[in-house]
Amino acid sequence: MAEAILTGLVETIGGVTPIYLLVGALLGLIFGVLPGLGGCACVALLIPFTYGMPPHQAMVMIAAAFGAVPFGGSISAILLNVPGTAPNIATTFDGYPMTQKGRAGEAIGTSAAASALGAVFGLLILVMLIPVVRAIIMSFGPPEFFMMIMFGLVSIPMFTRGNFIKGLFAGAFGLMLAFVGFDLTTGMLRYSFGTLYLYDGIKLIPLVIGIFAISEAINLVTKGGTVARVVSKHKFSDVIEGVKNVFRYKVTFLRSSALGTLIGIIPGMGGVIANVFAWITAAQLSPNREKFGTGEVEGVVASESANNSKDGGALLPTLAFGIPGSAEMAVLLGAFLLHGLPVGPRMMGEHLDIVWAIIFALLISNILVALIGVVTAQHLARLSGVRGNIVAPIIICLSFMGAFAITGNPYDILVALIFGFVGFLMVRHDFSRLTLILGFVLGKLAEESFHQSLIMSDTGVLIFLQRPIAASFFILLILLVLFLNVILPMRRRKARQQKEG
Amino acid sequence: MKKGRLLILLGCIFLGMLLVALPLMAACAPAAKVEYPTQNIRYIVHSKVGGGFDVFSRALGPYLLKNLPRETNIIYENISGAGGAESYAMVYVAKPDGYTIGLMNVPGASVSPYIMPVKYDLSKFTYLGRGCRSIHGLFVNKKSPYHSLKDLQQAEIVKFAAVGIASTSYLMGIIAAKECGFNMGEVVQYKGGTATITAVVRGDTEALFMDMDSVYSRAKGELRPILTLDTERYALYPDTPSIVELGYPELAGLCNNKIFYGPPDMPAEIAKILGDALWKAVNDPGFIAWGEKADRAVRGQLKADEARELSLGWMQKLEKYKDLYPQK
Repeated sequence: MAEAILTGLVETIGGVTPIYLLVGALLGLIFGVLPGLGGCACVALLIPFTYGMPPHQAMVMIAAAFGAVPFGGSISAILLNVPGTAPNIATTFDGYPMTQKGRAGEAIGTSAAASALGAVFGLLILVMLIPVVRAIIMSFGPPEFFMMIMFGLVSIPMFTRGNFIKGLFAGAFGLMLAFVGFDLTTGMLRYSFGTLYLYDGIKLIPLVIGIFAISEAINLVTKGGTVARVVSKHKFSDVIEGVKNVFRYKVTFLRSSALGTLIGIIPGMGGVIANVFAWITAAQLSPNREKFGTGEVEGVVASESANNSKDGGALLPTLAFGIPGSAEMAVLLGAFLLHGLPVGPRMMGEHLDIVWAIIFALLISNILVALIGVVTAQHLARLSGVRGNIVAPIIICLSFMGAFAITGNPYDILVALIFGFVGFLMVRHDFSRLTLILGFVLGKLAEESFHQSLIMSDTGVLIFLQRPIAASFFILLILLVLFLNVILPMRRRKARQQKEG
Repeated sequence: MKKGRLLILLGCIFLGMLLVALPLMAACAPAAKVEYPTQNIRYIVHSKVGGGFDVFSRALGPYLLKNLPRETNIIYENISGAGGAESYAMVYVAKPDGYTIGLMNVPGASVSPYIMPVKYDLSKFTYLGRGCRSIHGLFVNKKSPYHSLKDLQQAEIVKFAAVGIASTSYLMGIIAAKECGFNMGEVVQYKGGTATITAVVRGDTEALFMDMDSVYSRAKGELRPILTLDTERYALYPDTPSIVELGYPELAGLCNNKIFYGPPDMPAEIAKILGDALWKAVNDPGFIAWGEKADRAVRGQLKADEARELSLGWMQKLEKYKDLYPQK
């Protein structure tokens, strides 16, 4: 093992490999920042260049690209309300409101630190969990997924800002949107209006781009002003404050990183769930829960640390069993095959040095781009002070580009545009966009896992109580519902009475 | 005869000979050589980057380029919507100039018209060959009480997992269940082959039909093979009987086929150039060696006519089982 670690390290930093690492990291950062592109597109572009390279160099370059993408995506999420990649969605919930409050530099600094440290955490856990990864993967099936998702769904009322009923309505609308398309279980096409485009349902990125970015651009044009509603000097000290936030909220950081790693290990969950779940959990447990979604920096700590730690988690089943922990890991497996590397347990057995080279490349890439982020954050933050009628067209162009880049389908642009207007009207009439997105993201997985659980069950819904982990989640769920609907209102009433008294 | 009239007569004869000879010369002249390719070739893959069909296509790329008569590039486009139907539709309406080709999954492409509004007609594509076929098998969890097809036939219900209703694994399941006489009940559907394999390893479901190479590399020792859907036993699982040995030879052709295709009405010369280049590429020792190294054996290569026959054959076969699918 020690020899493999040393060989892996030498392979990563020796010879010309660091140049490939740097190229991969920079490309990954750019592909992360540009909405709709992301890690898969970056690696697809890199793969032909890696033909003829020794496998370890190719894997270092690819891993470095993957490592840089999440932080790149957070930059556009924070500055423009456009998630650079799908797993940056929850970063828009608090990152962009921070920008509106003139705290863009702090937000980017927080994201940089959370990204780098989250990646380190994820990779450390990867190394420690190798002996038990099989047990973890085998413990999580559809009933466990369903119960975890329910945690998120029952929290939706927490995020209804202003009008509670309108917030719930938006959440329900998000759930309805999630059900559009081909149902995996019944084979029915729902609300597709006879079109092939809606076979796979409404795509997440065009929806989010429309609901958050385009609606915001329309808002900027109609109301005028700048993205930042508060004038700020954007000093480097703000960025350093942002970095320190990760240490201020270390419990949130550790918990979110652990959650991100765990969700990354479980195949089928994906980066979006890790990002959103970590944010929801942080909001549920924070004393400042009411501020989440309005520019609470703890939300950025939670979402970004989970977003980066998940890669370490996702790498575990990918390397150990050839089971991709995420969409990006599926691409990594493809790269293995193209370079004649085995997929499955043989990879760890026969190429442990390349495994370590991948781990080191991920680590170095994350730290490198975080440093780039810290150094440039102060200047990037100045974008928030540019006039709205200059920024709005840029946001709209980037949004359309991002929506189109996913599959090259022009209908994605139409979807983004339609939901741009929907989002604008929602803001005008006090409907929560956040609950709509939560309902949408969680709804599809909840329905799929619920159906799968019932079909595999011999006892119907009792399957959720018969499996220990699902049953534990169910009990925690009941406690959460009681807390949100009984204990929390009691506390608020008491606080109100004390204030009046 | 006067001199003038003689000259006129000779002139008419000469003109007549010219009028007859010229078309004959044109017909006998060698055909102008088709200059192909002169620009990049767009290669549409119906899976996401990193998926099985994508990896196959990208690994094949250098060998295809090597065997084309002129230098060019291949530009890959991953269009994975609607189970591949979007990519097939995209190729269907592309200009038939040889600069748009794709890799199709048969029988996947044959199933789609039964369950969704597709915009292509399989019988009209220009077929260029089969790159590879899979060997599928029926697997159960290693702790399962089922050890043979007979055990499955005697069971009340066997819980199956599949990769979605439009998938080859589901199709094989319903066909095998109907012909072999076992009850698969309601099938638990998963997204992706890996998730499906993991579900059976975990014990959430009992059985699945899956590509034997995929199971071997990901879950060797965790799943027990019951039968191989092929004419003979598979070298990786030498103790597993073939479906022919078990008395159902008509099921031996059930497998995934990677079929190269282009838009309808592609010029015959260009289709031949592409078909020949693809044939040489998939039979290249370097490409076959890659497949062996990657546990993705390259087998069952077919030329254009045979590939077309196979694809159309699947369309006819599915007519028999269409009632088993949810109707669109």
